[in-house]
Amino acid sequence: MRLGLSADTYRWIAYPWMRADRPAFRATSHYAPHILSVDPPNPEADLPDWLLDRVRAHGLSALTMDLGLLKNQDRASAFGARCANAGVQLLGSVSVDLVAGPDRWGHAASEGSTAHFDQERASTLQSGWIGDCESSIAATAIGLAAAAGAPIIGLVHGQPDRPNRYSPRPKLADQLKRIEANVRALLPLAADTGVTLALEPHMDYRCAELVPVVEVIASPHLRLVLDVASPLAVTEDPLDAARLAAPYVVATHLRDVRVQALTEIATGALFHTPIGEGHVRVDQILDILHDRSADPDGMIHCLKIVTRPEHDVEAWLTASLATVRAYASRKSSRDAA
Amino acid sequence: MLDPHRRRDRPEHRNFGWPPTFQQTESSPEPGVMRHDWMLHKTRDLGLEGFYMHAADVGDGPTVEGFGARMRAAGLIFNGGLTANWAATADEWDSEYRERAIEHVELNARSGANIATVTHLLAGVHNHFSTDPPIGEQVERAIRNFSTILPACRQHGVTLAFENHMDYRLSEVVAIVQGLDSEFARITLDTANPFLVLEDPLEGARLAAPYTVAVHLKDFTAHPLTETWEPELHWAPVGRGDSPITEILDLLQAEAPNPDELLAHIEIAGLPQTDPDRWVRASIAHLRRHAADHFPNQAAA
Repeated sequence: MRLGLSADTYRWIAYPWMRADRPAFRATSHYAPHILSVDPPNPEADLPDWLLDRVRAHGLSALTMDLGLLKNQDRASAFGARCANAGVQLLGSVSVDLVAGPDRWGHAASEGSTAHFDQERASTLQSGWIGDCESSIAATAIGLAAAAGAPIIGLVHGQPDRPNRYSPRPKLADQLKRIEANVRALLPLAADTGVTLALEPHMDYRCAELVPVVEVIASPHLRLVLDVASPLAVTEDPLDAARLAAPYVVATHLRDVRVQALTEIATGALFHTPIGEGHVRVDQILDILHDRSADPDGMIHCLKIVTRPEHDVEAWLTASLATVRAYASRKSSRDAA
Repeated sequence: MLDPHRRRDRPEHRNFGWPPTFQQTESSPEPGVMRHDWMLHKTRDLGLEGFYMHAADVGDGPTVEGFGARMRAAGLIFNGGLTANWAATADEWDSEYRERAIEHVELNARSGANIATVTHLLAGVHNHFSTDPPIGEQVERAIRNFSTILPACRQHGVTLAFENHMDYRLSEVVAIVQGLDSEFARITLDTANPFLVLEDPLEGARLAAPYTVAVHLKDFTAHPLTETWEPELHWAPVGRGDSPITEILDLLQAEAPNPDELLAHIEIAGLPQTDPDRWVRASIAHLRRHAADHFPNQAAA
């Protein structure tokens, strides 16, 4: 099993637009993480390099991050080389409105595109990617992935200003048709660059809704990234989601959530937890993926230890990593027996 | 407004950090006014046809009988109820819960209720997500436990209607009812609670419809993406949330055992600082407009 780190793990202490040590953080009404086991990156430091250091510090071998952090192809190429030298596999992602209509989607072409990532535009739930059309954003990111040597790029849709399965308009079936059409338009570029596109259900759609999109397109250049806890956000059982998605999953984001169904005001509550402390059966999901995936040994599992800002994310990551390594160790023992 | 331990006008309500309440259209009952009597008048005032409350919350036998008589005189239907620990071990059930459950069946009968919605007393301990014992054993325990009080249900003519109540999936409640295999074991279907146990409300309703004799019309808006990435559910007046209530009502009309007699109750609690009366009236208006076929008695209202 190849283990890696998702950059989102450190989002409250590392992303310039979210850092809890920004003066603006106090206006969010969140508590700050006063006790931390790792120093946040120097605001002047290169964030991808800091993330790479964290990957190495934890003995991991993969890093998944928004490719916008690499800014341009030269930097992407240089960072990709540093990852390769460190024995770290880079995986990319990009935020793009997959439900955009034809006008907003446009035509994929990275050359001459003005699409780029502007961290001044980014916020907690808003991507910093901007461009004249969504396909040019996607194409630019695919170009960055190719330059950095990232074989997979996750397509992340979920954002507050974009429709999701609960939106009344367009209807869910029409949303999925648009996703299919838009992703299909990116496949020639993916094939040319040798990059695999991977839809990521991201607190927006069920795996039961995106798996059929992958199946109907039926391209070797389209797969899935499975965030093992995202199904909870859309009333989908994580184990059911894993069973459906497994044949198409090329990478995962591992995290955990506790479901508190009964609460004082009877609306339930979901809380992030270190892996193993919640209700996402990460161990069973890993077994399902191993048994049902076309290439289980090639699958990359990245820990995305999401916390509320007030928590010590490093402590959560360390504990989660120990749990996942224990799962792997138990599985090795079972297989050997 | 009503529950003694929850009333917003208790001084200690502020100690729990809830925002204060303003601009309410309805006040809590004056001291000495019983909750069930206040509800009786409110139900008539709203032009509804009945309400749901556990008989034991009304009072002792004579109180329940008197209340039942007043309900009938007002032309209202009382949906009774009781609570017990569904997943108790056999020893726990027989020593702590069985006799009380039978007493409550009798109490419901004395009120004139022939449907008693059954909620799970220890939902915070034993539920879909708890693993000691596993969910399959919890279901088996519930079947064993409630089978011991079905004779009393038959004797008193009270049907138990097990509710999915922030604890179990409808698929699990259906397994309990099928295991009990009795005309006195049916379901109270809550339209929003499936969200809390990761069950699609419409898929759950498809399973439960053939056994459903009561329905709680509850609505939530789903908030899958929030700033902390912890999804949330928020209360909403009926029709303003993401629970497929109209579709569920259509399904029940087609597949419930006796759809014309099905007891449907608006059950929206909201945050303490919201105005429950306006929420209820908005919910009623929505149902009268968008689900009129299912509520013919509401047409005149």
